[in-house]
Amino acid sequence: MFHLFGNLLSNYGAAANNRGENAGNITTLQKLMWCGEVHTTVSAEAIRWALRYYWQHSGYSVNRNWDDDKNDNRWENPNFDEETFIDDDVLGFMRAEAAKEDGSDEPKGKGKKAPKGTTTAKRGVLEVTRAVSTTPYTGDLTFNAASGEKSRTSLYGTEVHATRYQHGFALTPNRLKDKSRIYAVIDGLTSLGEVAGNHARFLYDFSPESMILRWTHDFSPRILYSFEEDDAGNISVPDLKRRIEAGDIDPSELWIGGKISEELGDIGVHVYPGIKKTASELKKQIAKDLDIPLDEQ
Amino acid sequence: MSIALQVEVPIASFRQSEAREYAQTYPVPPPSTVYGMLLSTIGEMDRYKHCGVQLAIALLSEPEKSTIVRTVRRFKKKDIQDPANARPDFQELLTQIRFIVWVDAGADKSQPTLPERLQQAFDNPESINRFGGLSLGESRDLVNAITLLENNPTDASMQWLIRDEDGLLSLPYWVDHVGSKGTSWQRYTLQKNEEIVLDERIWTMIQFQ
Repeated sequence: MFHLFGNLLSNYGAAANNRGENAGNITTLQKLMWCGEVHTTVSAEAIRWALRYYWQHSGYSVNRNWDDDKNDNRWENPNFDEETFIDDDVLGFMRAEAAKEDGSDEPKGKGKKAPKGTTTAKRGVLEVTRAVSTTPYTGDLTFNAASGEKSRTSLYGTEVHATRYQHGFALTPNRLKDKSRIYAVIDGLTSLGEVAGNHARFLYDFSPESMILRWTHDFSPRILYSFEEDDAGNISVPDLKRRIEAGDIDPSELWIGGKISEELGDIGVHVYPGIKKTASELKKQIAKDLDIPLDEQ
Repeated sequence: MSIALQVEVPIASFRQSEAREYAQTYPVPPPSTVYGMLLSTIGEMDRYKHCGVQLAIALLSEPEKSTIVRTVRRFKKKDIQDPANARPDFQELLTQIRFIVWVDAGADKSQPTLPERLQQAFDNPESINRFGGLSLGESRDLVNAITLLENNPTDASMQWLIRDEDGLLSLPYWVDHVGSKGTSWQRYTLQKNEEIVLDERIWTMIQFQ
């Protein structure tokens, strides 16, 4: 059974106002400890939100539409429909009813029905990981004043981190109601715009500058968080190279694109200078392996 | 039959059973969580299937702990869109988790046993019918790598999870997701010592009581 794994590195930009808690009048960034230093982070939910928003504006049928005027979600079908809506199928859903038995439990005994009151949740087929900055946060802060008439709450500070972010994903297309939706997932994740950082007011571009995709039978990705950035801003993938050399990753399972392609020329991976070209070449391979024509998307 | 697997998880949270608004994490993946991950690896849906299997866990890294704020969903109002069903709460995360899990058939009566099925899965990964990203803890906490180890590794720097009735760590080895009546805990300590590998106290039997 085929699995698609990915590790994406965003462009360099200034991230701020990232849905964290406020500390006094300072808008903080979410942070975590990463390799012994403080890094900033963006949640998987923010990335999934942006993916759904991309589908909404690219003409796909989504159940949860974002209403820009009301600043709220609008549901097409609160009972969910994974046949019709791409987000119900790919991202999963949960109806808010308490389960009386574990949803994972199979019926006990032949001919018996599933336990009464099982939850109507569908686990998302696509899993997205938390995004982590490639460089540590050094504590940059801007000091600002609200426009217009001033009051005693008009002064505020914002933590800012100029950096790149990397995040990963996993998808087993066989679990999709409509397997051709794997193409829409690839298109979406390689085109993400507004993910969290600076949300409504400025754009932090989350579309990849570099990306590593793996199309494989292996259960584990082995490529997550493999980008490293040095003090001069150079990006490298030493852990990925080590795993290829050690024989843990078959290089022919890798599709690598963007800036990182410059240093991965002759190790047997599918490598392309452009993100879009990488995505389209991988889609051709998927079409062959899963027998789903590309023009059905 | 017994096998050893090395597992690498970049980010995860093993929510403590008693944690409410502040979602604290255990410092080590509980045996019940590791058992769930092993079933997921081979696509087994029936969690009772391999009861009786024995697990031993040793940390290879000292995971770092962070606290973040995230949206937590809860059931307060029937209308799914009601804002009362979502609120921000603190959650602890662990980063850079690396550990080895030994899987021994123990009293697993299924044929083939869990270690045999895992061995088959590594021999023929394309034959496994599984779904969802392989994760440890929450679904978004993806496992980066799970590798079958050829020999039986022991290292003085490993931190072994050993059963200890005076231990300060109380971890579940079976979880009842509806209420907590069927959840079973054991007490443990984490200890560094190369000789512990011969100690019976490293083994936890996964069983429903």
